Amino acid sequence: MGWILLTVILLGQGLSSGVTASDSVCTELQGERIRWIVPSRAGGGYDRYSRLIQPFLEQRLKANIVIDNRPEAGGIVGAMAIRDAGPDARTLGVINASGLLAAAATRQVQVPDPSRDFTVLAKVVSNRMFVFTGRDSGFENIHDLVEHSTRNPVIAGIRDVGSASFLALPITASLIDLDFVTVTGYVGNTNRVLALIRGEIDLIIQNFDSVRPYVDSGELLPLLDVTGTGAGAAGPVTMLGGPSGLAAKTAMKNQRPVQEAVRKAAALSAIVSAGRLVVAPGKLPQPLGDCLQAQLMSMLTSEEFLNAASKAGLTIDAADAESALSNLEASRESLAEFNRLVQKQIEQVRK
Amino acid sequence: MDSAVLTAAYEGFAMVFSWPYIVYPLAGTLLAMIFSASPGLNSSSLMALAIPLTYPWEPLPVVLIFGAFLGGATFMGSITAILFNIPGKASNSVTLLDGYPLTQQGKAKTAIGAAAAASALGSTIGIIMLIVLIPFMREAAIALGPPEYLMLAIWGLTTLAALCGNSMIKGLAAAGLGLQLAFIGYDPRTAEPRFAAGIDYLGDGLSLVPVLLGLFALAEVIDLIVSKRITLSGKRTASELHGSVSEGIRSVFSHFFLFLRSSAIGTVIGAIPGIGSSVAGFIAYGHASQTARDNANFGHGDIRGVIAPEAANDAKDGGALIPTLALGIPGGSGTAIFLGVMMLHGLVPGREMLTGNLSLVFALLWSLFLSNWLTSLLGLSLVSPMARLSTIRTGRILPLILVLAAVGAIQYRGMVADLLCAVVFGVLGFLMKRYGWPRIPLVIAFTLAPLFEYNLHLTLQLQELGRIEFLSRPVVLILLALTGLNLALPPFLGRLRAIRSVSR
Repeated sequence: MGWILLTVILLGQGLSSGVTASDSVCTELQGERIRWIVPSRAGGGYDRYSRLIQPFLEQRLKANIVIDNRPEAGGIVGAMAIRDAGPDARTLGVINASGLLAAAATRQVQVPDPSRDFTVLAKVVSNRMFVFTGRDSGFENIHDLVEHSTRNPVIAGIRDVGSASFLALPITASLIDLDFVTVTGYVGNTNRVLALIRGEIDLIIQNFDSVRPYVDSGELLPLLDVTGTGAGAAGPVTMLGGPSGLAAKTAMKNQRPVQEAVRKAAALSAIVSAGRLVVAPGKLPQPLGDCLQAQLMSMLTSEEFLNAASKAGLTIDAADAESALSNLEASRESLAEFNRLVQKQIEQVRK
Repeated sequence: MDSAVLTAAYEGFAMVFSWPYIVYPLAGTLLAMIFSASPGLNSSSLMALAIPLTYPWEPLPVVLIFGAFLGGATFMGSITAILFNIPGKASNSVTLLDGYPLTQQGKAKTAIGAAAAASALGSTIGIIMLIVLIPFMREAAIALGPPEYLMLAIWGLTTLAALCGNSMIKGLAAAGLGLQLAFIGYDPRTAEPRFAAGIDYLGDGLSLVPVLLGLFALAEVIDLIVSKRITLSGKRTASELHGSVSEGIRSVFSHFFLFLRSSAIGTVIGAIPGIGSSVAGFIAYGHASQTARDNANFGHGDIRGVIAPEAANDAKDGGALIPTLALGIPGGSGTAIFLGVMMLHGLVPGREMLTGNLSLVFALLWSLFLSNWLTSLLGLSLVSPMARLSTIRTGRILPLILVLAAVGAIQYRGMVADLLCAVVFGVLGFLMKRYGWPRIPLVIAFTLAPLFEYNLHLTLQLQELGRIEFLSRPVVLILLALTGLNLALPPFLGRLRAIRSVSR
């Protein structure tokens, strides 16, 4: 009995000292200035999430968080700035994990590795990629678009080689037999959306939350849910993946292996939904990392924060660092199989 | 105009100018002025700080205070640009080109007076154009595309010819250098690094603020040290200073047509999302010098070089609200934060906002109007003490200028490397000034290059795919004609003057 009591006391002390240690480490940040790097322009999707998180996290850490928009090179420069900062949590930020995976697969230059070059603190939301068209485009559903492309290739607007959209486009198109050409160089979501509204292009492939206001206002029409969850879309939207998804139906129609189409659609979904991660530079001291992870998860799941997110029209789908990292590894494995398709697309753009 | 619009305009007016709501635009303006005049802070940081405070508020006070934040921060940065060659924000950077030379001539009061009047009146023109466009705002927001943006950039670049000073070759070489510097960084289409020499900082491209601070403010500091000038203005006492605020205000009315054209340029460019706040000012400045009969004084203290960019800069705010209100597409960082706040309070931009909530839209516009005028009026009250700074001995004022320039360079993006960049451009600017190489063509080319490059790529692709017909677009044709005039008129007028002088 005595040793059980002793064990309980020691365990209790250990736990309480752990909590105290973690809290005391987080107090290191009290009154400090934290630079929060956003890999998009002010007003972009990452910026909106960051500005939502900023006051809540400031309150919890009792620190001054200063938002620094670094949209250059599709956010790669911002990610590099986080990677290269000192491991003292005075620089934090959001990264587009799927964008970085895509960039790594498509660029000649070295880009930061989302799982190896950072200390992942939490996932804020998974990316939910959709194919969108403009409300005046004349396309009412994805079948109209595919049917039209049998006569004339449809025109897709993308940012540049190395974006998640650039990666998702040829893979999606190959699964649904969509003939397309790209117009590259639309920097920023807003420019792509405007191009779609103006009718210069027929489609964009984009994270739902980044363009949600334009869907809500009726300017954009979601045609295809590439990541397959369908949640949050305005009205019923065709899914790419799953046994009854468009990829499977297209394979069946053209007498291709259905299971392979379903598997490829799932692999694509894993890559592009890797999500928006809150990260610190790599090699962050573990107690500090633990404390930040705990504070972030507690904040991201709090009722007050979720209410504010809901008011701002932003979806939160928080996950802890461990789960986000395991998703990243799965995505990395899936990416290899699409390499040939993506390289072909790069050659076309760089011609 | 639609009677519904007039009714909403009156309702919006009544909302703003009623107790206690009038407090919000007044407080917002004062806060914006304080933030924009404080090193290390700006109106965007003020807006970000204010967001959580407004959570429990009703939509009307939020719209009023954020409208004032948007309008109240623009003019203050012009004062430091005029007095010390240090722009408070990138958008004020054009004002220094002629504002600071006026300070050197002892005419700081005139320059600030002209800037204040052009700023307040320019914002009014921008708001009026916005109101006129309300019934067809969506159409206005999507009327211009890559071909028009490309032609705007080309039109702006052709004004460079008028700014080359005595040597066209040197001016064009400086412009070429500006274009080359702007192409540093990732290719916007293929994402391949260009001219970055493996340096991470350059991968990002050069940023306008450190480049400008170097080329003008730091170059001036070096020049002041080398030239051993006693004060910035060359005068020792305030009584020796020339000019007055009223002279500056009058100058806006004596160049009223230029002021109107610059305001129109500002409104149109403001409506183009994400092209940088300084582009409107630079294009208006280039236009002013191009259309002036006697443009030799531009860059050396021409009051028109203050009026044009200030009018465009403030009119731009009205233009920036066109895509924001019509489509929810922000024109810049200020409108981006404003948009986020509106959505946080359940206000969705777009058709519903422009029909169901039109009086709230007008409350925003009245708040913007009020804050722009208040800022200019309060700014004018500071003119006399501020102008006296130009009579302080150089040895005493130089440390202040250096600190302001250093803080300005670092606070812009929080990067110490930007200070290093400013120093490099400071040396370059000093050498250019010393050896008679014009700096203005370099800066204008540097500012317009991204607009030109991005839209050249897009226009060529869209034309090749048959999605646009470049020469069948009316705005493109108008801009082509204006570009042709820009190129043909100066030699034509030069020849005409030569013939006249010979015939005399």
